[in-house]
Amino acid sequence: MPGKSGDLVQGTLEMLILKTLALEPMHGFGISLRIEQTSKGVFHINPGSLFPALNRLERAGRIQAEWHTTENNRRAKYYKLTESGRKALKEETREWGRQIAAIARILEA
Amino acid sequence: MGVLKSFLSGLRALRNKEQRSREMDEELRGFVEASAEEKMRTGMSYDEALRKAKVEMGGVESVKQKVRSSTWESLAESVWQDIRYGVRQLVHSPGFSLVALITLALGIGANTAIFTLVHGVLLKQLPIADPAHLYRIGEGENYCCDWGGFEDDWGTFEYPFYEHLRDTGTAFREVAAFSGSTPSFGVRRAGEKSAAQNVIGELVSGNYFDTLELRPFAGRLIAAADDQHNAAPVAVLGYRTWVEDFAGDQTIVGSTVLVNDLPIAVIGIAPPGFHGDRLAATQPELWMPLNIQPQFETSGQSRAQSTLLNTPGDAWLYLIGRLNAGVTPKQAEAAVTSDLQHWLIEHRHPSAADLALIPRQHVRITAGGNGISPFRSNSRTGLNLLSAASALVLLVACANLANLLLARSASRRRQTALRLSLGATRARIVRAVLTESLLLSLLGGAAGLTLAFAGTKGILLIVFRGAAQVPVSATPSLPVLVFALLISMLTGAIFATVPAWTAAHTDPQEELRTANTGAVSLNPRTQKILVVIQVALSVVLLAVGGLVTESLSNLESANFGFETHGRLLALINFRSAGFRPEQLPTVYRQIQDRLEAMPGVRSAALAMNSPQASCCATIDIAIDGRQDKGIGDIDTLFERVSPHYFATLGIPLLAGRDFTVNDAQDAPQVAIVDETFARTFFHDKSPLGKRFGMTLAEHAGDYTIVGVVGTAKYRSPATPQGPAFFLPFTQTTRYAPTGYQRFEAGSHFAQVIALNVTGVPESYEKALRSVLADIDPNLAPTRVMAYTEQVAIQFNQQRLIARLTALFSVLALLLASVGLYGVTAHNVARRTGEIGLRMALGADRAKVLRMVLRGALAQMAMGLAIGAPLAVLCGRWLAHLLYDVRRFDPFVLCTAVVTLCTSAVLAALVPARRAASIEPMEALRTE
Repeated sequence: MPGKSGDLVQGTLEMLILKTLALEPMHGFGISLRIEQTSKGVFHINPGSLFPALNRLERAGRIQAEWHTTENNRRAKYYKLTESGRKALKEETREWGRQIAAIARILEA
Repeated sequence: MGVLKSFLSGLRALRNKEQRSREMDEELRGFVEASAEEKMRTGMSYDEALRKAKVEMGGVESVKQKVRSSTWESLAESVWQDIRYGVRQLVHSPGFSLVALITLALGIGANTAIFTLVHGVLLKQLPIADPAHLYRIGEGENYCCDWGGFEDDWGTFEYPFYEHLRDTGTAFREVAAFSGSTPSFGVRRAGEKSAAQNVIGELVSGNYFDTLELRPFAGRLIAAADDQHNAAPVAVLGYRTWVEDFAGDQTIVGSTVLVNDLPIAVIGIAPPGFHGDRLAATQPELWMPLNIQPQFETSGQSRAQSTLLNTPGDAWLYLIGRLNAGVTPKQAEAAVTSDLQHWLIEHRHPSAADLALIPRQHVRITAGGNGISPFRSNSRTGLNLLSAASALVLLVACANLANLLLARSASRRRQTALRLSLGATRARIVRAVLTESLLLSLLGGAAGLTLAFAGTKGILLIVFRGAAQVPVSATPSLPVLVFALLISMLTGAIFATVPAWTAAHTDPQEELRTANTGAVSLNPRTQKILVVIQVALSVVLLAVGGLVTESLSNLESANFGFETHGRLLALINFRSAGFRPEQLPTVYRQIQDRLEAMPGVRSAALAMNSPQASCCATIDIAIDGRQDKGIGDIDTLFERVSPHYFATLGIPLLAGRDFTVNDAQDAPQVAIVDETFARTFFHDKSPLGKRFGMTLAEHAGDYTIVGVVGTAKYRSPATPQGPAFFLPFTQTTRYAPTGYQRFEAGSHFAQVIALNVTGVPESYEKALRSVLADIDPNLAPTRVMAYTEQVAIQFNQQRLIARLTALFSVLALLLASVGLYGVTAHNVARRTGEIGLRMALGADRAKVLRMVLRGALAQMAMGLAIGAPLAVLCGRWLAHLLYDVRRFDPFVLCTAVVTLCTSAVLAALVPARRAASIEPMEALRTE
């Protein structure tokens, strides 16, 4: 299996989903595709990880789901960032930045 | 917030499970199609793209499962599944469930019953506000009237010292006092001619109810103003007495009652559930201020001069109090101790010898929130023993259940293997086993609670046999319920560990490959170890039960020095019947004459106390003309009796004569002493004609010894008893106003009437009561019983401990036997094929029988090898609790071992015979 999502640093998947949804509401496959493309194929999110994560985020009130029609005239569940999701994304991004910087300092020391 | 949201959406998801599942299906289908379209863009054919997309998805159901298991409600759901599964398992094997439930109910029930007792007796707090901050000043429950004596570790105090402490002490914000003795008072409503009700009373200080922070049920409680010299006499009634003796009549509040013929206003009713500050078989139900005490003085002269309120040294009060903020009990202890030492020097005018003892005098501040209870102090070790015994029973029960579950999990191994290979996780399997055990233990706990309730009622009847009311409730309270719940869960966890471990280590491949015949394979070592433990514990319990039972029977059959059979005893209170001291000699004479005239009565007598009634006043004496050191230090038992007393109780007259009617006030003062007295003070010389008296100047030669009687055991055989002397009711010694004066007056009130009769003693009760009522309608005995009953009451506690440990040891034995039977039977079933083969190859039935028995007996022998030394150790540790039982009693141990061997052989014989009756051909065919 190419690019297992297990390669993601623990806990980052939810942040990536939030970031992806920050641009526009998307359905599951859209999210998966966008992450794969943006990461230039480094991350491949399979449904077994994606959907539990979406479910958790929805439970936590960070995203909202609605059924819409797609460009191909199919019904799909679209996820949309909520206000609390936006805040969480900001918070997590900052935290992530801090950690990355710290790790980088350690690796370069 | 987030938690709540998650909880709510979880609930929603649970409710809309179907819809949610459909939505997931649709969403995932969409995902696959979108994925396939994306792939087709790179040039794949539709079919290929769809196939690839599906492979990447890895199964719709598996994704759905992953989504579901990431939520809390899925856990709840699977636990619910486990519970339903567990219930199904229990229902499917009713035999197993029943045996397990009975075992559990017995084990948990025994522990809960004992805990109810422990809680009620040792832990329970008084029904007052903030019991944790109530302190007792002093410790110990020996209410003593050691006038002038130093207590060293002080427990009771004189009234002047109480006043001093209350008014000048700085450690306590409130100090209250209450009388050490709780006499019975005759109470009736003024103007009514009916017989008085006997009510236990207590004198309390004016701030007593305030200190306890109690609110009245009706009216008001005693206040400081009521406890003043010359205040109008008032009383507070207990709730129960108000309901039972006065029919809950509200008008009694504000009315006047006669208490021992003294008119007293009832001002209020105490709150329900409050029975004073002590846990005892006689709890006060009538409270009056301390300052009322002089009015109950019995002799006219002392009423004016000497009362308990102003006699120095008469330590008759218990003290309790609440500490000032910021004062620790340690600081208070130091303050009160120094206060007391100064007080003693200042007010007691100690001799040089006593002065040296002052630094030793100290007061401890102890927890006061659960009241004063001699019963608690006496029963602590006994209750600890019972707790240990019931815990052992529970352990044996646990071992049994573990064995049962183990045998069952063995027969379920294929099922477990199948579940494992179908994808169940080991954690899930273990959880199922735990859930089932827990379910079982909770059901068992509920059954045990019911059993405990009934059991506790029975236990309390034994402990408080002969008590007017039982101070401990058998109804399970919240702490008891919590205890039962916790112990059930603990039990479940303990007995489930072994089967859970086995289940977790099942190898599915191995299991599914080999277990094709239905024959059960199981390494029986664990089971055997459990049986060995059971046998060891049982033999310990059996030995302990035996020792305690032996101790009881030694106590009961001890030589008391008097006759208990054919004697009837009536307890009576002349004081509450309204008699004055000067009326007593006449009425005693009248009673004795009338009773002795009754057909069937050999003799009748009155006495202040009677043997084996947890009684007695002890006093120091002086021997006329002797100065030997040590005489004044011997505690001597004092008793006042009527003529014929010794004949009535069957105490032999060894020398001299009995009291007669001629020993009147104007005749020389006489005394009779017992054999121990004669030996202690006069060695081998005859004491007849010798004189002795109290340790007061001019009183050392008051009494001339005219008779010597055999020593009758007044106290429990287990406690040593000093010398005893007897004085007649018909003579009174005149003392200066001191404690002796009050004691002398009080000792003239007989409390006991004894009859020596032919035939069944109880059959004389009616005649006795009617004779007394005929003499004076107020003369109603509080209790009439055969003497054997009074002796039996003395041993309530020992009997309880003996009966319960015996019961527990039988339970353990039963459980261990069932365990041994189960393991042996299981092994026989397992080895059916092997046995059949052996027989086919020529082994005869006797050989097979021996083989099976040998296996069972080997476990028993190992259990004995562990248990017997433990039993010996326990016996040595218990020796100080037991009466006349040697530290090592081979007889009891042998009996325990033999009992165990017999039941073990019986338990093993059944499966062994079954093994011997196996038909070789049949066994081999099924193999």
